[in-house]
Amino acid sequence: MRGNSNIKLITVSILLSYSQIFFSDKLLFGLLLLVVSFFNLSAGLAGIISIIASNGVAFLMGINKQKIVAGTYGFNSLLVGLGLGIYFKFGLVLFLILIFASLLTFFMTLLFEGWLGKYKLPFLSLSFLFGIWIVSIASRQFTSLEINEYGIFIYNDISRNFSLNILKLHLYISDLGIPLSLKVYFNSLGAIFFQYNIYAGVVIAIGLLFTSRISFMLSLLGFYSAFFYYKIVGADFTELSYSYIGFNFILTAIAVGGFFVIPSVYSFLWVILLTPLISFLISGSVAVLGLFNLSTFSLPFNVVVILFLYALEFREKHFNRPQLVSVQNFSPEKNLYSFHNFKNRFGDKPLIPIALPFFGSWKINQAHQGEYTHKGKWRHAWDFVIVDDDSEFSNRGNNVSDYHCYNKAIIAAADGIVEEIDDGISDNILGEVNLIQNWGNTIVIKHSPWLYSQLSHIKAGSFQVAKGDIIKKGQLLAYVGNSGRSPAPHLHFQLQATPFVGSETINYPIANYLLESKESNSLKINSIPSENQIVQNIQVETSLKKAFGFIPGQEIFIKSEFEELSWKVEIDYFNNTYLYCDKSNSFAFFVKSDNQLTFTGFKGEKKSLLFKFYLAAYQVIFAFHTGITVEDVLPANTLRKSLNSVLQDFIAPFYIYIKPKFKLNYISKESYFDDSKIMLQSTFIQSKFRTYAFEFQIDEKGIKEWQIEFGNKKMIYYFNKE
Amino acid sequence: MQKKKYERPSIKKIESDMPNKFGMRSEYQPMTHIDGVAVKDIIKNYGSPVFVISEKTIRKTFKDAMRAFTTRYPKVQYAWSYKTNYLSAVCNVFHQEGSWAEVVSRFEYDKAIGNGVPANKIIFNGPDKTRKDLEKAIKNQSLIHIDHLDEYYTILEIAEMTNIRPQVAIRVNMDTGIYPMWDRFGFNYENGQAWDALNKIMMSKKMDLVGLHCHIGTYMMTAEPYGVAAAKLADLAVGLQQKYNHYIKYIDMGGGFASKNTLKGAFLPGSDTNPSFDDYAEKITSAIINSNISPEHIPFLFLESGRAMIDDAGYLIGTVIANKRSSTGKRTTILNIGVNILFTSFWYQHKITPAQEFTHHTENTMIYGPLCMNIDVIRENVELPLLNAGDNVVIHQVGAYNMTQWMQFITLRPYVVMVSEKAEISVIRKGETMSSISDYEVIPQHLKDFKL
Repeated sequence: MRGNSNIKLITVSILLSYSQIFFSDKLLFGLLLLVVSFFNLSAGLAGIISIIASNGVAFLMGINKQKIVAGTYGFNSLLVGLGLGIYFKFGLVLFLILIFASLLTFFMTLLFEGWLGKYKLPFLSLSFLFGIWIVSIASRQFTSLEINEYGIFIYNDISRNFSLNILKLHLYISDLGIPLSLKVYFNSLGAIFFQYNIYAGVVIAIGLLFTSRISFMLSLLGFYSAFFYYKIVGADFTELSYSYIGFNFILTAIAVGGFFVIPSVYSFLWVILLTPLISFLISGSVAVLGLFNLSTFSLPFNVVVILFLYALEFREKHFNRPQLVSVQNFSPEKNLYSFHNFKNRFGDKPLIPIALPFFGSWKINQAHQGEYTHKGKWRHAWDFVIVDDDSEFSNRGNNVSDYHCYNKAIIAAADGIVEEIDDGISDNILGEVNLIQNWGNTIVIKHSPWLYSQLSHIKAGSFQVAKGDIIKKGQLLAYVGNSGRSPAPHLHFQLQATPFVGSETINYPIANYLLESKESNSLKINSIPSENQIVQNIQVETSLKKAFGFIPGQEIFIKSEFEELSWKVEIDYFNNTYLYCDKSNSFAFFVKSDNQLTFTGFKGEKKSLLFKFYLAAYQVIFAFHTGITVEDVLPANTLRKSLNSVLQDFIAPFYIYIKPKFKLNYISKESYFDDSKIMLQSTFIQSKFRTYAFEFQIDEKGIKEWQIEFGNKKMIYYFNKE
Repeated sequence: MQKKKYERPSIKKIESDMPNKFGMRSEYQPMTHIDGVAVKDIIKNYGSPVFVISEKTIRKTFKDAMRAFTTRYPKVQYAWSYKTNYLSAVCNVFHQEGSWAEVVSRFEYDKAIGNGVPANKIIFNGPDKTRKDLEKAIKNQSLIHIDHLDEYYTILEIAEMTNIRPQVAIRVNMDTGIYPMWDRFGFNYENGQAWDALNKIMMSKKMDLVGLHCHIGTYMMTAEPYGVAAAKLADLAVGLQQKYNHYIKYIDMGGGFASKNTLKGAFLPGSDTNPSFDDYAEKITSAIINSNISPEHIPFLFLESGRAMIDDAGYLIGTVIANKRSSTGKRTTILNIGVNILFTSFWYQHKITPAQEFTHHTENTMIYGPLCMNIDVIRENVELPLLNAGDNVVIHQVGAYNMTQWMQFITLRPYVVMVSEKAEISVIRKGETMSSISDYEVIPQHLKDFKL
């Protein structure tokens, strides 16, 4: 069993070393590239030996196993091996040289990883370049190495290695009238694997198309922008010498257009703009390296990509055209879809959930960009009052104490530290305002180094906390008053990035709240309440919190009539929390706050039960209020592959029209103190004809029963947490 | 043109001294409609006297009370005090609004069950719980508020026998600075009885201690004592937290909130002087929130206020039987409403409004009921317009206690109707007939016949 899994890991590490060259983590694509490399037997063998040597050393030295398996340390050695295998005849001498050349390349990979990694830059194929240059200079003195003649006399090779008929076929294809540029394109693709024929190129192109539509598009974009650029500057790109280095344009296009950068109009534009730079580097490096009889290989690609990525890091934070990839999914499509999904769901700020700073339901009588005082630098603020039958006060409203909101508790919107307290300003007489101390009694609370909340017009002497106190969300801070620029009692609430009373406000949403209306209440998530709305905090249900509030270290056991499996709640060293299914090797990433569970991504087997759980509980708010629903959109690649989804991949950099919908309905609740029995139903619409319907039965112990209905199939699972 | 109403002549002394702040004369409007339904129509259909309950007012009062507490405290639960008014329709309005039930006898307990209240949402209070009552309540997992140690021992015995864990709380009495101090119910806080009882419960390990209860008085004219009481209960909760790492689920502040009625002997009207829900809420919630109870385990706040929730929603419509003058020349008016159905007239100066147009002339009047008993006085002094025999009056704020403490005495008890929010009338208790009374009577054979 263990042996089996080791063989599996070694195989994966070999195949991924191949696909890494095209920035992919697809095993099948790796296998295809492996086959292509064996178009030349000696080169193919040399390549695979180099990978094994390099990965083997890495393993024995105790380098991170996951990275080895991902092919991180294999692909540079693979390229060195391929290069050497093409030039030299296979034999014992080459075998020895390959082993040590791989060792050298591997060390250099570590060097570049360590050095460039500090600057958040990739090491690309730099170690291949240095590896092959050093070894090829050195090998000039190794007289026992025989030069491989393969590839010089193509017709001879074909007829000798295959048959005369194949040669005839080759000649026939050559005469087919494939446009010259396309031939060069295929040649360039093949050249990445040191295969200077269109067949390798065609196979790679097809593989690339299946692996990633965007990469394929980019390969064409990169190539043809070079093609036309050379036309403009008066050089002939179809000339043989260029096809050896044409792939620089292709690889740069994939790297800059979609892999390290989120694919978009801007990234595509940059692909075109970088073309002349590559050409300068090609001409320049060829001239310089020529002095040493060295080939330039992928040097221009390496230099341009690293230069460009380095330059992007210098931009102002909020500038996002183009946007750098922050979580690498090894596919331009996945990067793009998950980035857009994340952006639409959570915006571009890391979210500290902010709640409303009071108990019960209040009305907003001035919202963001209000007509009275919420203007200019202070436009992102709210004024809250309590209204009953459209009146803010009882009796005649002649005293501040007649106002419903007067002397009501103000509570902390999130955990934090009291940064500042202004006290001692007395309440105004109704209708009068204090313009000198216009904020009135105020408290500023620090929630993070860039997020502060300010509450103003507080009643003098009512503070229950002191400056420097550590406070919890929901803790009593003070009572509403009528101090400062406040003609009638109200609570002013604003969020700001700096710690001063009256700092400039920021546009920051309330994590979740209930919006009341005559007909029915609705749930708002990460929204900004607007004027005249009546809002209240959601009331957290302990049962829901228990059911979906996964804690790292827990293990969840799931049982049905047919199967029994378990998931682990884990946390990685980037602080990502996720559910992990050992059986299917799948990950469902989530973030959890006091009030909600939100899945942020899924990696692994889409046939697994974990994937269905990810769909079923994509976003759950831990509150039950009659009639509320949670709606959300999943990344476009959640759907199964179809003609439509392939089409979407092609136009995804410009427009995303597939928006798989998730909907959660709160059906029923029987409550008893903090314990409630709750039923939730969620749906995920896969296509017009395929909808998943899920149902959760939750009691005070957590999820009791989970039902999946899909088509006419119905499955029931039982949960048990440990 | 309508015929002008006859109003008898009256003589009134002109007060020539300094005008005082209470004004010179009463200005008030007749109450011809209740929630859009004509009083005359109600009398036509259901007779006179007749009780009218306004559903709209109940719901509004409930929401006002809830708002007062929920804007100050996160977890609030009302329990409808059955003894205040246990007409099923009234109870069900409260249950629809989310109230649980608070009962003080087996009769009320069974009534709540009959209304469809889940047994575990019934709070069983009071000193009189028989062994059988307790067995049933324990089996049903109702919340039992223990009043005395004898009750505790009975519960313990039942728990040991049945192996069911009773859900219990204790009622605590305490000095909150008011007079008289209610110390006949529950266990005393100051002398340590309460803490002792809690220890007994915790050590027994046979029952679940779910809450703490107090009920410090009735018709409380100041909110301050509630703050004291809440702080003392919170203190017990903190004690349990520290000693046993046990978190109670709720603190029940009981009831006793005053309605807007004016007590006899009060100088100013109750609507001006009695505390509002906000006043009570402020004191109670501040005390609990500012206590040392950890915020994650903040208990539910239970309220059992009855009177303040229902008083305003009840009206009693009656008819003038006759006008007279007393020996001193004082005007007296006899209504067909007596103390047998308006029990609360012993405590309150009920507001009485004519149900038809009148002029601004008023006369100091004494209102008698129809009973042939000297104590049957509804108001001793009230400035009323000049009423004629056959005129109708509406008595306000009679929703609490009258429909539970009323007597079938001399007359039969009248209809009780409810005006819905859509101004529809429904009978919620039929007027009694001869058979309501005589059906329960049994005449021994030898007494059946007589000749006169």
